[in-house]
Amino acid sequence: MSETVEAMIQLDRVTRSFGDTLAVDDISFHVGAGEVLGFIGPNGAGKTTSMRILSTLDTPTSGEAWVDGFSVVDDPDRVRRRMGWMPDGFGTYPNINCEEYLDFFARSYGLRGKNRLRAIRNVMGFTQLNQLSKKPISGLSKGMKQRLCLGRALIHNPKVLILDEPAAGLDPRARIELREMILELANEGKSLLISSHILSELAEVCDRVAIIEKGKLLAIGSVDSLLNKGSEDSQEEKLVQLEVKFISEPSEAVRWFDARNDAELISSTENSIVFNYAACHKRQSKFLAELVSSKVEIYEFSEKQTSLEDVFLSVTRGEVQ
Amino acid sequence: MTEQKSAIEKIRLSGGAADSAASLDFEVSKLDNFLDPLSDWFSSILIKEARQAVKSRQFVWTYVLQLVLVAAWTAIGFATLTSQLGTGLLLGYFVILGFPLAVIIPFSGYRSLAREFDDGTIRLISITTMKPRQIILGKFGSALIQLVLYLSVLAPCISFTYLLEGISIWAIVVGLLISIGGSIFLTIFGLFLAGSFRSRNLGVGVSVVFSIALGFAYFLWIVFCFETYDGMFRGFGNEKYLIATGFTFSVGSTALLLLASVVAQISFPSDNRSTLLRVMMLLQQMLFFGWFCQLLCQEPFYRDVPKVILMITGHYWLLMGFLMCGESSNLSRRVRRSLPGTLAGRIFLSLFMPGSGRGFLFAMANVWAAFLFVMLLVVFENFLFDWTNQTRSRFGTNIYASEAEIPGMIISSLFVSWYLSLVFLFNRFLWRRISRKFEPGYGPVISLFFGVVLVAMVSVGSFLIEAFLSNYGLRSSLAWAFNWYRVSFEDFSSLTSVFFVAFVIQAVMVLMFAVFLASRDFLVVAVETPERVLIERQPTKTNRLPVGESIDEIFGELPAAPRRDDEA
Repeated sequence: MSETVEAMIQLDRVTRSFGDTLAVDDISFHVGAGEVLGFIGPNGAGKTTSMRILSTLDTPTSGEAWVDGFSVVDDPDRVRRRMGWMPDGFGTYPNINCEEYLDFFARSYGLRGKNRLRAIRNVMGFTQLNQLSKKPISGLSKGMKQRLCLGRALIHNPKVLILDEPAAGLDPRARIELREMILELANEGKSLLISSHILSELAEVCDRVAIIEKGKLLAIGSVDSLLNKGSEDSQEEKLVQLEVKFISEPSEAVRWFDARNDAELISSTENSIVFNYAACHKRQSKFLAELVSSKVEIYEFSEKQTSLEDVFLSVTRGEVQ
Repeated sequence: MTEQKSAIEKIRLSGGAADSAASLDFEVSKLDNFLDPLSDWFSSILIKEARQAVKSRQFVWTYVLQLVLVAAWTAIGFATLTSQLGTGLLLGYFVILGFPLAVIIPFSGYRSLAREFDDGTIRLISITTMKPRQIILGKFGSALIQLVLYLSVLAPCISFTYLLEGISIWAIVVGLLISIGGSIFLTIFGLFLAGSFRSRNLGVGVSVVFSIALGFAYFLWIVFCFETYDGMFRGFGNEKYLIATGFTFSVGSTALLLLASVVAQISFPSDNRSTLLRVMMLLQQMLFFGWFCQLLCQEPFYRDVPKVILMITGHYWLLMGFLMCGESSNLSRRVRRSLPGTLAGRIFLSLFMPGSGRGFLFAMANVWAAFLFVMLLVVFENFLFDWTNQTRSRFGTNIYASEAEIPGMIISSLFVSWYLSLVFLFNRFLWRRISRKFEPGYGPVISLFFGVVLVAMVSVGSFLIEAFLSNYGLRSSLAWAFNWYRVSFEDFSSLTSVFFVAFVIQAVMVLMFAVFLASRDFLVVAVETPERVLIERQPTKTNRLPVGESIDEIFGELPAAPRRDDEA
């Protein structure tokens, strides 16, 4: 329970079912203060359902969830004061402009008088919507609308932000601007839970990443640890993907790899071979020495860089049925 | 301040028309700044809705159309109406006013909430610190503002007719009260529909049906105006007064109940959705009793009053009881925090808390309270009549009639209780097993469905048994006794068949078993509120700011805007 109080977001064995469908299945994780957690998963994995539970829009069938130590089921009003949520849709109104939109939400969060005006001004400044304050929302571009929605989520300056697909449909420039804003918010000590399909984006802004599929949490950890770079310990055995380029006959190289049991061949071309190899640094060195002394004439030996996409695909591939 | 400065700059730099435009801007800005703090007293929804509504084309067109029609009717009236000019003008104004009040405002209210569901913006509002009650009242308040705006067009004209011959103040007041009251009720009903039918596809159908119904309501209003052309506006007799108060009480309390129902529908699942509804139901029942007391005082000839009271309350509590029996028995910790802690509190207040058992007992308590009320009426009839200076002879007749019907009234209440018990037991034993596959919100609907089917089956079954027995020359009055719309009051002396005795015995047993099971819900004890919540409650009572921090602490920390390349 002590962990519950310290963590800004905490899910403890949360399950949500809709009839026979299990949307979220026994998920547990936490997000600390100032931490950014990326939430990755294919469509229908349970990301939005988990976020809806945290946003006090839904209740779990079983399990508990807390925001800043307050239960989302028992104290939703207190959670709402501390949490800003940005859904995957914009959620705007016709016939009102940006300033009126933010004014409405500032009032809805109980801000009054000068405090309200100040909150609106600050948020307008942060999201750089000052010039567009009197512009009708219907006339805004997608990127601007997204900023406005981020501004709405920030209007009461919450400690926790939950962003559901914030970069979806944005052009590269708008994505960069959004990423800058997210990093800025994280630097200010806010805790962020972000779901996205654009994994490269997440890798750049997230401290940790959680991978979810079919309602189950498959992996969680820092981006480095998930990319298998977490340990610098040369004694620790880890699985790496290696690529060898050579100038000799490919059949020679394939024959050499087939003869070994410790390397798993992934792919081969006319002058290269990619394979998985699980070993510590010392064994890698020995492996390389044996390779060099073989008949295969190699001119390049490198570790293939693993991306978050690779990790995601490898983690989610058929593990949950 | 920056805007003000820029306005001043404009005044300095430009001349002529630009000067006056900038000056106007500046004045508007000053007025705006002056009025802005006052707006803090209003609901945010109300302000947002009002902003949206007055900018919408529909409002502008309706408003302008109303102006044109009023002007046209005034001109036509003066040109063509030679006799009864005042009545003719007034009726015309009411017909013009009726359209926005009966059609536009209720439909706007409906669409306003329905659109929140369609566009998903209800989620954004729900996670603010606004209470569901504030959201719904904000929507309702916005409709009232529109109502005032539409009335403002016609108010001078309607007032003017008072100066004309044949128009009394009653004519104006009654006409306005009915049109405003009707508009308010229809608006609340529209909000109720929007809250009940949230699916987009279903919403289209409901929109069409509701708009047709509103058109019909407007038609009825026109008919009402013209049919009661002569008599309606000429003050109240005793009978009209009774009808008017009865109608007002029933419509008003139903409107409140519907409003509470919409609030409950958009409340968070762990919130207490039931107490407000139950208070409204109780209020409705009390108003109903009060009105009948008034009726008895005014019109002592209505010897059927006790039966009518029991019949109406019986069916009312059947409907409400079926719904309440379907509530979830599992209380959230949030609700359990507010459970009464003392024994006395549990006895009197637990009935108002959510839960199927409590709902069942609440309905039962009200059924028997109605019975008790009727018994008191019979017993204290003497007192009532002496109080109202009625003659004793009239009164004596009533006493005999009522006393003879007492057994039938007991059976009637038992009958209603039996239905409620069966539906409660169905929910407790059968529905609970299969309900995991459904969302909790379906419980009351399924319960109501089962209750209606049960009542229909018993009615048809008793009719068939009656028909079967009559083939053998037997007569049992079963169909009479079990008829769904007329629970047994009369012919009690003939209800002595073995079937009937068997029914009474099993009904009492079923009732006792259900009450025993339901009373176990009273054993649920309150849980303590976490200390952190208690601490935080303290400052939020006086300080409306989030988390009870000072505004500097909150907004002083908002990060500066990240730099943009083009700005650099």
